[in-house]
Amino acid sequence: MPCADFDWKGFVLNETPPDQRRIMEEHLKGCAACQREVEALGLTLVAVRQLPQHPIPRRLAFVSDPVFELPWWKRIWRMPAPAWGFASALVVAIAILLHGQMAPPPVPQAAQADPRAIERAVQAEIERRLPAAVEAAVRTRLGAAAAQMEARLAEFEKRAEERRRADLRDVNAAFELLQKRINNVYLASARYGGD
Amino acid sequence: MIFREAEDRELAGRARKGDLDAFNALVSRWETRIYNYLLRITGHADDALDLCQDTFIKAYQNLARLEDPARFGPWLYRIAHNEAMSHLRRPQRETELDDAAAAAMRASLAPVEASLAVEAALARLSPEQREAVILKVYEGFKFDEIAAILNCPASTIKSRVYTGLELLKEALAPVRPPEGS
Repeated sequence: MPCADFDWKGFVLNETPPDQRRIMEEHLKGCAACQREVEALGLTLVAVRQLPQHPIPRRLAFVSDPVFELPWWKRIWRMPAPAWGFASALVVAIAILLHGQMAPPPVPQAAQADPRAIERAVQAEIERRLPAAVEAAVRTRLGAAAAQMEARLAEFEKRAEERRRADLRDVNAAFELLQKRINNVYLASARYGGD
Repeated sequence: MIFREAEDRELAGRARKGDLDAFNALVSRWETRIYNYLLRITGHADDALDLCQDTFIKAYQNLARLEDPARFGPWLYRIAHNEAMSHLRRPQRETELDDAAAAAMRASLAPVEASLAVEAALARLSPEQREAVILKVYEGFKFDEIAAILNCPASTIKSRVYTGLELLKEALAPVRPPEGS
């Protein structure tokens, strides 16, 4: 390979691949012109690198210094996207929890239930509630009439009992009168020779 | 470099979750390199310091956009590059190194002639070549990493670095350290 094909600047700048570098090193051992070129480039780099790094004149302000402290609204605005996402999810979760605590219990969805089951449930509920409701309605509406009827019935029974007792007394009196008359007949017959 | 990337990945990952101490640690790890990079691009110590501060503030504000925390370094240099380009597009008060920066750059150099020659040689490069050379020679990035930082093809970066290196070789030939030093 001719000398001109070798990239000696890349060689001294460590930009040469390892396999190519080995080839160039082998060439360098036997080529005085390339040795001079590499030496000149190397010494140039040494000279340039003599410029030292200068210490920084004064300390840089850290972002944690109070001068860089952002107001609270800017700090919120600068929150990263995941933090915004988490905050949003947190707000939604809290809203769902509050809604669950404050809202009435959910109504069963008609579309999801079996109509026959609903009908049976309604019928059972009617049968369970109807007698008590009817009794309560009857008791409310007919209570007064029933009480009046009971009072009249009691009065009627009382009068009937009095009439029965009066009739019984009359019967007894009539029976006693008849018995007396029979006795008088017996006495009269005995008096006039009969048994 | 591998350890640095691993530590950067961990620190950047924690910083993305809001750990300010982790980001402060990243600032401490990178501020000197970023400052020197900006100083060599702008040539002004004060501008470099301000741009360095802005770079880290923007990095913190855009941490969520960092796709791979292990690539924090190149990502940071890209922000610094953008900050520097925005700054250089504004009307400049002067184009040469200011006195403070020039004095600072020369202060720790020995010998002085060599450092002056290197500065002069770097100043002869175009801004694009100089930045590519700085990122390659001083910061040690690969061509594809520089391409990502500067948002241009790797082949363009390679061309800029090679051209810049050739110009530096020619300019620094008289002051190169003697053989064996």
